Amino acid sequence: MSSIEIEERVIAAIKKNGRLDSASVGLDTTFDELKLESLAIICTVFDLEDAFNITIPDDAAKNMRCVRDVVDGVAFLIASTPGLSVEGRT
Amino acid sequence: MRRVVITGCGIVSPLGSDLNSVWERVSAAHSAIGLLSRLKIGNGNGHVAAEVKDFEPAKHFSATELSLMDRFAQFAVVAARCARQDSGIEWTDELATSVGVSMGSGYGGAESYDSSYRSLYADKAPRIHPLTIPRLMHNAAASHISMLLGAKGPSLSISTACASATDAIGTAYRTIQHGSADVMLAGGSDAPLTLGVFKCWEGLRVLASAGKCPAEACRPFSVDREGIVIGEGAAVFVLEEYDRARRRNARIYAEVAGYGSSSDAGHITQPGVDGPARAMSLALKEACVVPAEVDYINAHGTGTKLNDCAETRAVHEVFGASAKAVSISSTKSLHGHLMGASGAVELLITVLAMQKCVVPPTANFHGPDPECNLDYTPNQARPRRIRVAISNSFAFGGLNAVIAVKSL
Repeated sequence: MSSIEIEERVIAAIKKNGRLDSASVGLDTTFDELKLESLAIICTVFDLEDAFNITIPDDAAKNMRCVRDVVDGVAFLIASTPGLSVEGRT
Repeated sequence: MRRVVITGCGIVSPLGSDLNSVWERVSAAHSAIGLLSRLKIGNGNGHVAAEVKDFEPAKHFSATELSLMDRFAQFAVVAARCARQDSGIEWTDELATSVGVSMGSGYGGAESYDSSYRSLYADKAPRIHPLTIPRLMHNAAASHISMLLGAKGPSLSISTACASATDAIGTAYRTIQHGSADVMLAGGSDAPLTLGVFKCWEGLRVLASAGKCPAEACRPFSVDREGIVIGEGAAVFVLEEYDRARRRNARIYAEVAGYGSSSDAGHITQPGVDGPARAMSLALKEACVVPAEVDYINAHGTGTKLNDCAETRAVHEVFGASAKAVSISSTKSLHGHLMGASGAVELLITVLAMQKCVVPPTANFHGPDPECNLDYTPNQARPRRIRVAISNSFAFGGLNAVIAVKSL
């Protein structure tokens, strides 16, 4: 899976859970800028775990501040999980 | 002690979700019980329930709100909104801190428990949705009412099984009596029609079967009664301090005049007689009425062999010579057993009966049981002026709650 695809799916999950249909979200957009509340962030993490069949550790989830943090974290988990189906489940 | 009156009623129930249609069905003994349609259990045949039909969540809530709300909380908020509107109360920012919420529920978010555990145990999901806890917590109904209606006074949720709503209303009454709030949104809500809940009740062998006529499955006090029919729904009242209600010329349905609460300290499922009798006596004593002044009892009347006999004996114990003169009915014959919400729906029917001067019937009464020898208003509503009424709720675990209401 390319980093572009990961980025697209992360942004889609953030928009869905933050109800941000019309917002402009890029790699360097921060959660603060999006006024993303903690429930929306944990729902995004849940969706991404489900979509990529990965487990995002609590520490990593708590340290995510911007879209890039999430994309990098997801890419790292996919790369470091042997035999993982990178097609995901969605 | 400050006096407390009912100035608004709201309901979401198998009998309907507006006061007129609910009353029409009750007074016509038109049962809302039928074959369970929302889910299949086992082979999918023969289960009866009292379901809330035609409830469209998206009509009442945004997608964001719905993502946080179990069905029981949705029912609660819709009923609370109806009650507030019915009360005609002016909902100002200034009032908000004097408004509290007191909601009973036996199950909390039963559907959220059921679906999340199913995904975990059956579907082997590695994780549960993050919003599961806010959806299933027992206080979700009270919290969502508080948030969506802007009630900033004392709010709580009460769970005493089948007595939950009656205890919640009693507690709200006390809260106003003692001056901790001027207005309380009080009632009960439950949405327990899930596979898990049904199978648990099935295990106790107290569920009525569908028989030839599912609408007649619940037959309280009748010689051929078989057990309970599980229902879902909510009812919420606006309880208001009496002087405040008078000042704004509010329509007053009835005065909440007494609340009796007792424990059997006996058996976990077998109903007692002394405990329910004490709860009724305490409610009447607080209302400053003698048993002979009571015109109507909305009975707990579940339709199980044991409850209906024990409740009858308790009424004899409290009412003595006047026991046979009081009109009794179990409206569960029409709307099923709404578990933790039942006391609220039944008190609502009781106050409507006071307004209409009509005693609601016990439907599906096919003949007297020698151990149930009182006037249960069989099958047909009956005209009667109701000045004082009580609504009984007796829970598994021997927790008993009774509300006494007076017409003004």
